[in-house]
Amino acid sequence: MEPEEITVDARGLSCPMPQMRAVEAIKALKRGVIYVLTDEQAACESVVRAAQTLELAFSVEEEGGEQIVKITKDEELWLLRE
Amino acid sequence: MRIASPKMFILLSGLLIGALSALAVHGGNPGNMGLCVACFLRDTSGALGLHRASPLQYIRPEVIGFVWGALLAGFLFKEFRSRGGSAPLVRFVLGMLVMAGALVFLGCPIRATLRLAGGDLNGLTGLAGTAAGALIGALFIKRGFNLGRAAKMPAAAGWVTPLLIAGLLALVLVRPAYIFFSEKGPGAMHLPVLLSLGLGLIVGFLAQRTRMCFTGAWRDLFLSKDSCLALAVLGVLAGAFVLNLSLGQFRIGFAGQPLSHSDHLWNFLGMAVVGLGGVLLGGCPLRQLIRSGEGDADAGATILGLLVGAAIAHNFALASSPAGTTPNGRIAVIISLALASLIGLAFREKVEPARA
Repeated sequence: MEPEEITVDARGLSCPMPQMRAVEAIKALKRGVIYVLTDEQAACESVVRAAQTLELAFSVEEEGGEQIVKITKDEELWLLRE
Repeated sequence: MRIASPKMFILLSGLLIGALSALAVHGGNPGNMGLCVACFLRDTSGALGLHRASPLQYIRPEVIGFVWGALLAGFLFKEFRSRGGSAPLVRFVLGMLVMAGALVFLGCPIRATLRLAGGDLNGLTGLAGTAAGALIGALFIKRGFNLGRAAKMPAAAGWVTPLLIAGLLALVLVRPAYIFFSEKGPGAMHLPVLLSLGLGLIVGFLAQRTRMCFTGAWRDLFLSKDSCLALAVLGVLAGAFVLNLSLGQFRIGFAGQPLSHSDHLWNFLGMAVVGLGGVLLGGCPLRQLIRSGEGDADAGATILGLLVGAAIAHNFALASSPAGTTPNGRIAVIISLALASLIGLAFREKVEPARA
């Protein structure tokens, strides 16, 4: 199956919604990349913490006060852990 | 900017804030009230004449420090952003409910922690209530509760709360005749203005950096087993406990504790309102002050709700005293729980499928 891509727009959402939306997206996707858009550092950190907890590879880009967290999910690695 | 070890930083900040709180009591703040956002806003509300409980009137400079400490951190770390428009009126109402619940218990979740650290076992009941309320709030969030997105606003919007708060500093320094200052009672017990302000600035700065939140701590444990914020609560508890012990301020028991009563059921339910309201608002009263310093105008609306809630609590005889709860207070807790739950049910955003 082709890797998928999901974008979660978590800008302007109160805590803990950004983290929850990110985790929902991670669960919805089998294999691929999740982009989470946030517009405050605290929300971005909570998304990063979720990625760390789930042991997924991630990177953060910052531009003009907004952040994009890129999370990569590999199904096989995921299943190995479950 | 990434902090090398965020968990350690959060724990250490909590320890420091707990220790400073115990020192503040030693230096003149009321018992187990080194820091209490609900109490400080209640005293401020009284000083402005919004309520006339004469022992509870003082503009607490710590409040000013919390907001400006967060503002300072926000600018230093480029996190100040003017934003607002996420149901400010609902947040105002939730602020009122939270204050009604807090003043039945006599304190916000920070004070519940500090009370426990001083040996007041009613703090345990308060913390249990906070956790129970936060759990209900977490269930609403799981069902899709959402007050809507905040939008970017012109820079000036984010300055409104910090500037209003700065006005309070002017009032406490100038002490004009129309501002009420308690001559006796808790409102008359305080540190010198500049020490209070300095304490507030340190706490505000650290709370902004750590995202410390005394309802979020429970919420995150329930929703994602994330213990980051809980470390702050533990830190405050431990820091205040150690200092209280060494300053001779620790006395264990339920009865005869400073500014505290032992109506267990209502302590629990009052703080359940605070836990629930705090989760629906996205943060405890301290977090609201911090966010307002980061430019969040909605948090400003919440603070106004907290101030008005304190006025109502004393004008309508809802607030407890060391003698115990009042009939009106008990009714108010039930109404507050019902209204907060109604808000939790009514504000649901249809969660769009995550696919882009």
